[in-house]
Amino acid sequence: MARGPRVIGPAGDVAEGPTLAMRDVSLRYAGAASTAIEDVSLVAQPGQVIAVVGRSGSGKSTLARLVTGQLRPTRGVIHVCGLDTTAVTPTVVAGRAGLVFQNPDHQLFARSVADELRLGPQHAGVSGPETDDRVREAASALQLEDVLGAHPAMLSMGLRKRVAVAAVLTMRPRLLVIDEPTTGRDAREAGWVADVVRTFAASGGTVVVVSHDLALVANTANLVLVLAAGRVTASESPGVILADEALLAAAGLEPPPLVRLALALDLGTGGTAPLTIDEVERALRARLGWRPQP
Amino acid sequence: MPALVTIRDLVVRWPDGTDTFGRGPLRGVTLEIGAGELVGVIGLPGSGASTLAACLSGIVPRLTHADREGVVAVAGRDPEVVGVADMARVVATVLDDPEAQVTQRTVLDEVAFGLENLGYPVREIEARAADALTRVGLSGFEDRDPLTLSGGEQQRLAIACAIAMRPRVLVMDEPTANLDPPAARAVLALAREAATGPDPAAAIVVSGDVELLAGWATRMLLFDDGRLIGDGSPEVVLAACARAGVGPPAPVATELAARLDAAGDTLPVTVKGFVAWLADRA
Repeated sequence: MARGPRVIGPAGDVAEGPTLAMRDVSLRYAGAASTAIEDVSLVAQPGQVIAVVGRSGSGKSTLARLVTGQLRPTRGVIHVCGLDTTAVTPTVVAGRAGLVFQNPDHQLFARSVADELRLGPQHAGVSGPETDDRVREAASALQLEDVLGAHPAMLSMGLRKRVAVAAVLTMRPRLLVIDEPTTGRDAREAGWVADVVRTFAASGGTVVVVSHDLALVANTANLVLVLAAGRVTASESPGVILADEALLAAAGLEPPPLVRLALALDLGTGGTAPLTIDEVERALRARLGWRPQP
Repeated sequence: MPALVTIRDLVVRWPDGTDTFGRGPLRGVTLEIGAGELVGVIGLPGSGASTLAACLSGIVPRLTHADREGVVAVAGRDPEVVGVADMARVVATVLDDPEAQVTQRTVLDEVAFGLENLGYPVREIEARAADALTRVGLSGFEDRDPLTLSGGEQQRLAIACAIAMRPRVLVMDEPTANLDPPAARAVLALAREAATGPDPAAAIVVSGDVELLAGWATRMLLFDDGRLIGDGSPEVVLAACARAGVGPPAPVATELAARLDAAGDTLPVTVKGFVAWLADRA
């Protein structure tokens, strides 16, 4: 992206207390032999980015739907901004927690991008002028100004994904949940995902990002949850998770190239992988006795 | 041996200045691609990399509002002039949205569709379809409805459809967008197989996954604002990418080597290459 997104984040005062609190949450789909989510507890504060990783079928997308109120737990409690998601309708939760689906075609309905962006606020009873403001802001943040009149079906997969994110942002959620933002899209555009996630968190929101793109995880997350068969098998900083090749392999993942390079050169320190190229460069220069970058 | 792809002074203009699929204009491109090459094509969105791929299949200009000038010859045929069926005999395309390519009710019918339309005998169609499905790891999926497959499985089906045609030129635009790393490497392995098999084709892969392309491409083309600004080995083109800060981000190996070595014109492009490069210097 040539220019960064405008700051776009939650509306109004930042809530006191955690954005998301899950306690001993389990979910079993009707008729299923085993639980999709088993005893998951998690507290997420404003400004935090939590990555959820794991194999297909490990429960990642189920977790995304639980924390946005689209599924209700079989056991346990989920609070979003202090609100018990089992006590209110999904529409009420949608004003606080927004979910971007893995496949944008599952959430795009309108005949133009502009109509799509208006849909959420209109249904929530937001005034016309306020809706227009939100649409302009979201379109600007995702750089969709040039395609506002286009039919979403006429756009590339990458653009459709951006429309889906913008549509969720027009609801001004405090919790933004993105399911596999960098799959099924043009990888050349992937930079915007990290920008949106970081900007949203920096402005006081909380992000849960479900992804197997570990470069994105390394770039954005403060905390990584590894899911296996519905259970949290690890909950650590990205540096610790990415340095643990055995853990990643068990979750069907590979370290990103930067971490592979650092591990191949034995640059990990104390079981923590370096997450930026600057760190790797410094470690290499120190080892080789080369002058630090002027 | 004459080139399989010849492009001379190729100019593509979009009447509205842009394309809703994000394909940019081309402002005068000349190049040749021969059998046996696995060409990686890179560039930021709108740079023209995808437009080049679409010109080879004829999607541009036949299915778009674009104007095309200059010479495009794929196995001696101009995709703008020659009919779809005749182009289908020589060039096969895989796109980043496999669901948009699906037309049939079963996986087997989908793979057979192109060959049936060209009038191949049933036995040959069956043999080629079985072979293609095996190569992409979809044997056993013959009777499935393509729309019930996962995104990754659909992408492998689109690739099976392409390789079943045994094209002279195989064009893939973001073929690994739906795939995890092992499956993505398998796609590049199929492209290499097409390029180096007994009847070698030219394989052309447009991808934003520069890290992936770097380990497989025999040649890299770098597009910027409609112009071909880099053409050579990955080690040379990506070194220029890292140094000049043009095009998409270079692989971490290249970026790091560029920071550590202010001079070299050839830099490593893979983790393995970097370790060897460093050993030479330490």
